Amino acid sequence: MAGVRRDIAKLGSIWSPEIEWYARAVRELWQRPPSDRTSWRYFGAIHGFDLDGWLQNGIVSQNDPLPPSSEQLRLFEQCQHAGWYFLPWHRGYLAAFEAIVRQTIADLGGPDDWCLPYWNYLDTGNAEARDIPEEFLAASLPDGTPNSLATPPRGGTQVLGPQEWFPRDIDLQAQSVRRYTAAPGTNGYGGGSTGFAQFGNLTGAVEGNPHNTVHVLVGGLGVDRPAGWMSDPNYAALDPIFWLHHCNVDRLWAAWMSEGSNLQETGAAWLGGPFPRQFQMPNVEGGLSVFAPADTLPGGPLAPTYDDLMDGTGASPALVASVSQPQQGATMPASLSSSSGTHSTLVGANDDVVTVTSAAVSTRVEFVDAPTAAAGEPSEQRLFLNLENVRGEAPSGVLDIHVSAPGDGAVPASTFEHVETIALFGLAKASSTEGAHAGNGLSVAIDITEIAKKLAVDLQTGLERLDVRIAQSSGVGSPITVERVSLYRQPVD
Amino acid sequence: MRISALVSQLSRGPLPWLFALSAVGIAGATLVPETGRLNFSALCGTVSLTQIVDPAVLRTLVWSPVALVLAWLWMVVAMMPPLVAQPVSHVWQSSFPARRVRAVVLFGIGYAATWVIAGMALVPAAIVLMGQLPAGAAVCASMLMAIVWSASPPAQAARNRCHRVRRIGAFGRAADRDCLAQGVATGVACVAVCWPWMIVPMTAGTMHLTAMLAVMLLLFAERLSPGSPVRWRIPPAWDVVVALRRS
Repeated sequence: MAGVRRDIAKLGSIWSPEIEWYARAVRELWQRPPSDRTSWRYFGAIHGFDLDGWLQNGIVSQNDPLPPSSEQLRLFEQCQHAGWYFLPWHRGYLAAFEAIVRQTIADLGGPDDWCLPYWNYLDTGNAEARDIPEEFLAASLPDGTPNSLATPPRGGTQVLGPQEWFPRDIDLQAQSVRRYTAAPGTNGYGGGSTGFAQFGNLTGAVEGNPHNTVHVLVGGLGVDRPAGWMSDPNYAALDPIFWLHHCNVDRLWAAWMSEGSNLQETGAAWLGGPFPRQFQMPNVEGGLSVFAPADTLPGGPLAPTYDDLMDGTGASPALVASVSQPQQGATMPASLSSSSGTHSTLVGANDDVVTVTSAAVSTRVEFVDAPTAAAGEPSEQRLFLNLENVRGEAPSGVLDIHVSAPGDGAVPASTFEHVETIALFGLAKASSTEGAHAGNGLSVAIDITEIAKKLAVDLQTGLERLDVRIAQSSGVGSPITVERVSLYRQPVD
Repeated sequence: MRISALVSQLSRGPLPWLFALSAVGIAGATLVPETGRLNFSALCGTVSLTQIVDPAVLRTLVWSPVALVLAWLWMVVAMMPPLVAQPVSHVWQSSFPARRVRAVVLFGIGYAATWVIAGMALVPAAIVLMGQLPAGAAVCASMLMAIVWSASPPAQAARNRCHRVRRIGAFGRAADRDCLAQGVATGVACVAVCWPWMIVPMTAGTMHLTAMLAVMLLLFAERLSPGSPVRWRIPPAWDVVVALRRS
């Protein structure tokens, strides 16, 4: 891989050559038929493809040629979410996209060293970091021609941050999760182990926030205007902002791997997986290239180089010196691990499926015994509240979660504590039983160790049950079901 | 790297235990006398369709119903365990540690019960097939039927459904019921995927055990494939062959 990826905010004034050439390349790639492996629509379909929806939305017409069905089976509908392949698959996807855009720009008469910029929305040193870059909103290019960066429908906000319909900010909490792979019912940086799965069984921390959060904030939920492409995996990659967003998520992973205390997955099943279906991407020659997660690690052929791993990543200052000189295949100080850590066990669960519509719903999680952490020894173990197999019909959803300790006779109930507001990117696709999917929905594990400890202190007794209140955003009525609400415990390793 | 990934994949979760159970089943089958196996080669071309529906005739062709059910179950135990790693892992992880063995046993009961019911149709089907055709033709016909089925849209829909997991309650009778229900649901999907393949060993004559092993590996290869659009396709076991060749 050639070149260094840079922060779009540091490329200079609006319409830097990099972005102007990107816009021209997008326009050129849109004009190619979807059967062309280097076309915009082909790359969009690699992420997610819904022929009926694309026809209805005018993305393709009945006359547009599509690749042979055998090729569609291998190349389309590949995106990996809610599992440990989320990060490496998207890294390979970015690399293939970047190479084709670079070649297109060169063919159009531009530079031959173009690199994908990243949208560094969490850079606290830039007051406008959270704004969708101006070039993605402008009606036209500097030469007055239509701006292909701004045409995709976006139904969310133009400035990332809490909204009435999604009261959650983007943040860097994920960067403090040490282990890449999550044991069942726990929270890992990269997600739970899975096979080839567009939607696996456990969302990783960085995938949850900022990845899912930004998708939903930009795309919207369809509350007061139709949801945009970024909220739906079948359309998201058709929006040019998608690529700058994912480039930043990828950079967060690069920064995370640069921390020596983190534990990057390097088990054989991950490095060489998945099996038998492999990840495949078009290359600039119009051929196809196979890659495995091992190829995306530092030193591998798909490892990217960033100008900076410090600003907006939460990386420690000690890191600065080691990465001040961008270099191809930088070393990986993170420790290598083929384990998901100590065994996790179920310690509590509710008794029925929960359906959340426009009103908040409460459900009680009974414990099989009082978890030790809740009794006051948080350093020994972590507690994770799980929302299992969350299903819904909307392309994406949002759930707001509170917990309280129920009263017991003379002991009054505690007040509800806010736990988390989660973005469920791809909810409908993960829930669908049509096509290739089993419809298992999305599963999320949230670390509530500190909250459980506080509730136990408030209650002045051991915590034996939790009341969990789940609500959707105001104005959203499409039902979301949570198959089970449970509590898992994992000893600290 | 790809072979290492496959080996690592096979060594994760309950798969080693399930392969061991399968091995015990196949090894045990070798100890059973020929007459105790579901091998109907002796019937080849000897029975007409009108005869086979006569209970009196049927009684002379097959040994006791109980032995027949046990032989069928033995075949299921030998061939199916590796296919249920995902749901077994699901009921195990979704249960309190003290209930995990119980959960898996209940799952197994639900799953086996489904196959027993399926056997009531599949075993007579194998008998009919063997009664109508010469030995070589019967096994060829059953294999052709199985390959066509594996390539068909309904089989792909059933394979996709095999990946589906259900809610597992944590406490008391609800937990037991849910584990049983997961076993039945997985069993129904599994029967829908595998039914023609289960007829193949029963028509394979002296190659009965070899056919069991081969079909077990083939079905496991199909199970390794992820979900896929519901349409006609090359049977997914071919994907594994291709992936291994690329390695």
